[in-house]
Formats: sequence, structure tokens, C-alpha cells
Amino acid sequence: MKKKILYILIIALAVFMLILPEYIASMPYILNVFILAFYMTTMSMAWNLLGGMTGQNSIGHACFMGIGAYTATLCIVKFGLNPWVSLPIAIFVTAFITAVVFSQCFILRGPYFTLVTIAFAEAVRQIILNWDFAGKAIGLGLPYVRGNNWLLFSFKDRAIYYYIAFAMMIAVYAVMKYIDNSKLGFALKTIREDEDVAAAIGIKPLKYKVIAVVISASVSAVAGFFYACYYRYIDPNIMLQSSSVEIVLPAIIGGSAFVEGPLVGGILMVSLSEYLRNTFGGILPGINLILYAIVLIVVIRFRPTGILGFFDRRGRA
Amino acid sequence: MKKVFALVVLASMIFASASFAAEDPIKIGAMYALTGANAAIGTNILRGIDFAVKMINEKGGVNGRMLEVVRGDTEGDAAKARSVAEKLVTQDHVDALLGCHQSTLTNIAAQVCDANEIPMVTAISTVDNLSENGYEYFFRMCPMNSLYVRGMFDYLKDISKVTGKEVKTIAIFADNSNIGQEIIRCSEIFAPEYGMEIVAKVEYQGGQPDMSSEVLALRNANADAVIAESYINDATLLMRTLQEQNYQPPILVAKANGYTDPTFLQNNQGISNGVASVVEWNPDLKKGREINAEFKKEYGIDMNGHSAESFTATWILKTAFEMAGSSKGSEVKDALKKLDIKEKFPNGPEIILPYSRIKFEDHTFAGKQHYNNNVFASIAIAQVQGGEYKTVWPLEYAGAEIIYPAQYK
Repeated sequence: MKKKILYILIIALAVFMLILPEYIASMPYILNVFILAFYMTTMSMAWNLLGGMTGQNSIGHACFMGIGAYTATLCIVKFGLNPWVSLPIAIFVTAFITAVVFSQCFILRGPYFTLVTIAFAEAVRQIILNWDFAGKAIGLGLPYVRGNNWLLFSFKDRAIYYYIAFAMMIAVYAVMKYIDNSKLGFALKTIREDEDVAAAIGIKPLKYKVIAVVISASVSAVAGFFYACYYRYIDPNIMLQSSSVEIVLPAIIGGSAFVEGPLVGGILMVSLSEYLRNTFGGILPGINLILYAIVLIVVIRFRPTGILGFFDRRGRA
Repeated sequence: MKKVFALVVLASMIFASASFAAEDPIKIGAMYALTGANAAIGTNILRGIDFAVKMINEKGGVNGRMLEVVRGDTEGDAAKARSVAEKLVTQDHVDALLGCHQSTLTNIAAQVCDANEIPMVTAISTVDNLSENGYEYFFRMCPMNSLYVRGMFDYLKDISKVTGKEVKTIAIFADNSNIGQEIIRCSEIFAPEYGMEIVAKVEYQGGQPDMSSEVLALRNANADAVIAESYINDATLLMRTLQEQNYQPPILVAKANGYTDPTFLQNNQGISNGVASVVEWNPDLKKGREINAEFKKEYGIDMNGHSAESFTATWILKTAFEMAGSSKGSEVKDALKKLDIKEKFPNGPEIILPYSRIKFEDHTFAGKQHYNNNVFASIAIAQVQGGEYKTVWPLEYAGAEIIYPAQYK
């Protein structure tokens, strides 16, 4: 019975989200906040597959996203490819690079992985900074188009971006939910709890960790593609470590042990940070960051398992 | 309790009547980094805007309507810049936008403005490709990077009039950041035009702990002049290493940035005399001295290049609003297109920057079409003399003579 009510609630929420742009079409700023929230949530879900489900904490996800964004932009700008063609290329390139690099790095365990992601992200950023073809530090711009153009993935109508971002987030959520209940998901969770036990019962930790990082990076590449098409200008700063940390936050705040964690955390934290900045940012610069930090500290202090931890009867960590 | 209530009612009535009395203000959005690594820069820029707005409002505003600044904090982040621009344009309904500092953010804000038909003027963003996009509502007042570099080459050419020695070879010292790369690209365009040869391109990694091999490369090149572009820490390290290796390039001219950072002179007292740098404005320039005196009274510090530029950009908007006779985006845009200011603003101050005319035009440069750039914009060059920056070029606005060769004492 309780489950039924929950399903009805979720369907109602989904319908509400779908018709929302009809009512706020005259407020592109609000639409923009939603788009940003959907994007951050998608990135955070990608992170959570590694950080939450597999227990491998990455501080380099902005770099996976950056590789995707750069590959797609280069394909469009330098090779004249259609954005829809460059998307699969971006996913493939990102997946390939991460598979090659991390299949070597996963021999190391624990904090070493985190260190490698930091180093990897910085290395890629430096390569782009010094790579003429990729625009060096000046960055790359996608052609500016007036009006809506599906072929070039550029829309004046913010609502279209809203639906695309929403669809992206829901699709990624569905994939994560599927993985969570699949053989792969159980393997990953076993690795998170104890790598040696996993190995003993026939789960190859290396293989599964590489699979996880490749899926996670591919999802980030999709988000990166969306970022490039939405903002239409990218520079190596998108791969800064601070951006990687921002991606981790929604998952931690929402509850990284839950597939829904980043969903809750992302929507909440992005709207909170936008609200705070736009209320206080112009009047008392910095106060919004302080308030944001206080919220972070409070949540982590009182519910280290994240907001969803409040609702979890089993009280798992 | 009743008394308090009565007071509140009274107060709200006064406020209500006051807000009915005045006409709606014209809102100008100003989006800069007010927190984060670029906060100091953003604060200086905003001072210039606030100061201009105060001056304009004291003189009766724009046809009786006051100007009001709505601030937005970009935190120096591209994604945030977009939402700040969206908010200013679609929620606060600003009539025009000033911004940003970093060129990537400016580009993103320009897209928002163009889509919503809100005129935008940048006073600070210099990366060339900003004006290549064909935004109808975006105007750039400051010179673009290549013109900064052209100014430096003009300086190198003019210097021979003072010293009698022509500059034939140059070495470039730049980091691998975007401005560093731009300076190399532009120098390669201008050097042949000015009959000079680039004998060395010394590139380094920003923040590296040692500059010995870089200075050695400069010394080996032994060029007539060194063109430098660095952030503050690297600039300081360069000065120290030049001392250590006892190498004194006769001319060292920098493209502002670290070399005009307020701490550069403090950190390099006694070893930086003779270093020259591009400045957008300088207190001893023969222009804008009275305005700077007023500014100093208000904020306790001199204007810097950024505040002088944002001050001027605010006056440009004011003039455009007046010319348009309304605050409607498309009309103000047309006014900006037609605007042609010579020497001084109508009913306003002189152009305090080192050029005497402001006019936005489309033009081509190095084979690229540019739109709505202020084609008369130019820069000044200042030299460290006695531990202070003294303007030495353009010669007609200069407050001091060029010292040659540089002494580094």
C-alpha cells in the first residue's frame, strides 16, 4: 500500500516536471537553474557509480566531463561533424582513454585511486592548456546560432534544453537503478565492502572496477557534450579540481549509498546555491558561500549518510 | 504597541509616496567576480561603475531617470556566469549589462544578452575572438589583445626617437596561459610588420619554482627588447632571477597583468626600475586627473586601469540611453552603433583613457571579421621610475621621459 502511494507520488512529480516549463517559460532564469541542477545531478550520479557503489572516490570527474566536452567540440568545430555524430565519438574517446589509463591504475587500492584521479585530471588539463589544436587556454567556442536548430543542437528556447537535460538525467538514473539491481551492481558493492572477499568468491575486482570507471566516464562524457552545447564555449577551466569537488557534493549530501542520493542532493544543493547567490551575491558578496558551507557542515555533521539517510529504516551506512 | 504600528504605517506611506514620485530608474547590470580568486579585480571594476553612476545621478541622471546598478557575482565560473546573466536580464530586467572580466564568461553573458535583446558593453575583456561571433547586442570598448600588442610594438618603434637606437630583435617571455599564448600569436603577426625579428620565444609553466633556464635562454638570445607576460608570482620570480644572473635587457615591456599588480612594486623594490608595462590608465596620465582626485576622496585609493575603463563604459551607456531617448534594448543598441564620442562625453567628463575617440565599428583584422569594437581604443605604457609607474607613452599624454636602458636598480 505504502509503495503504491510512493509510485503515485513519483509519477505525479514526473508529470509536474514535464509540464513545468509551460508555466515558467517566461522565466528563463528559473529554467536555467533547473537545467544546471539536472546537469549537476547527472554528473553526480556518474560519480556515485564509482564513489558510492564501488567505493572508489574520484576527484577527477570534471576531467572525464571535459574530455567528452572537448572531443565533441573539436569534432564539431575542427572536423565539421554534426553534433549528433560527435556525441558517440565523445563517449567512445572518453571511455577508451579512461579504460587504458585506469586499467593500469586500479592495481593500486584505496586512496591511491583518488590521487591518480587528481593527477590524471590535472595532466589532461595541462595537455589541453598546451595543445594548439584544442585552442590552448583560450578555449573553443561552438558556432552561435539564433533561433532553434535541432541539427546544430542550439536552441533559443530554453525549454528544449530543459527537456533534454531532464531526459538525460532520468535516463542516467534508470541506468544506475538497473545497475544497482544487476549482477554488476552486486559485484561492485561487494568490492566496496571488501575487495579480498570479492576476489575470493570469484569477482575480479580489477575487471569490475574498470567497467565501473568506464561507465562512469561515459556518462560524464554525455554530460560534457550537453555542457558544451548549452554554454557553447569551453576552456580548460572546466576541468579544474574545484569543479570535480562540486560534482562530489550532491552525492554526499543526498546520500552516496543510494542511487537516488545524487538526485536529491543535486536538485537541493544547486537550487540552494543559486538561491543564495542571487539573493545575497550582489549585496554581500561571499555571504552566500558561507551559508552554503554551513548547510554542508550541518548535513554532514548530523547525517553522515546524507539526507536520504534520514529515511532509511535499515540505517545502513 | 499601537505607537509602533502607527510608525510603521507612517514609514511605509512615506516610502510609498517616494517611490511614486520618481520615475522608474534605468537599471544597469554589472556582473563581475566578487568572491573567489578574482574578487579584488571585480571590486575595483565595480568602484569605477559606482563612481560614474553617482556622478551621473548627481547631474540629474538620464533625462531625469536615475541609474541603478544591479550587481551579480560570477565567482569567476562559467556556469555561474550564465545563470547570473539570465537572472539579471530576465528577472531583474536590467536595461543594459556591463561585464565581465574573464573573456569566457563575457562570451557566455553576451549570448544571453543577444538572445534577449539587451545591449551589453564590456570594458575589460580583451580576447580577440569575443568580437568575432557577430553578436548584435555586444559592444567592446577596450582594445582587443592584438591591439595591446600593437601598442607595445608602437612603443618599441617610438622608443628609438628618444634613444636613437632602433629595436631590431625581440625575445618573448610568456607563460602557457591564454593571455600568454595570445601575446605570442600577436607578436608573430606584428613583428614582420614592424621590421623586427623574434629571436627567442621563452615559454614557461605558470607557478614554476625556478626561472634560471628561462633567463639563461633570454640572455643567450640577447635581444634588443624583451616582451613579457606573466602573473604576479612569475613576474616577481623573473625580476629576482634577472638580478641573480646579472642580466639586464635594455628594454623589458610587459602586457600589464602581474607587472601592474599592486604588489609587484612592493615585492620588487630596487630591482624593478626601468620595467615598462602596458596600462589602460595611470594616475599621472595627462587625462582624468580631476576625476581621479574625486575618486580618491571617495574610496581612498587611486583609480586603476580597470576602474577607469568601467567608469568610461558606464558613461558610454548613459550617453547611449540619452541618444535613444528610451531604455528599450533595440533602440539603445542602435544608439550604441551610432555613438561617436570625441574628446568628451556630452554634458560629461573628458575621455580619461589614453585615446580621444569612442566609436563602435565592424572591421577586419588578420583575416577575421570583427563586430562592434571600439576601433579608436588604445593603451598607454608606463615605466617603473623611482619605484613608481610613470606614464611614458603615448608621448603626447606622457607624464615622464623614457629611461633607457633599463637599470633594474
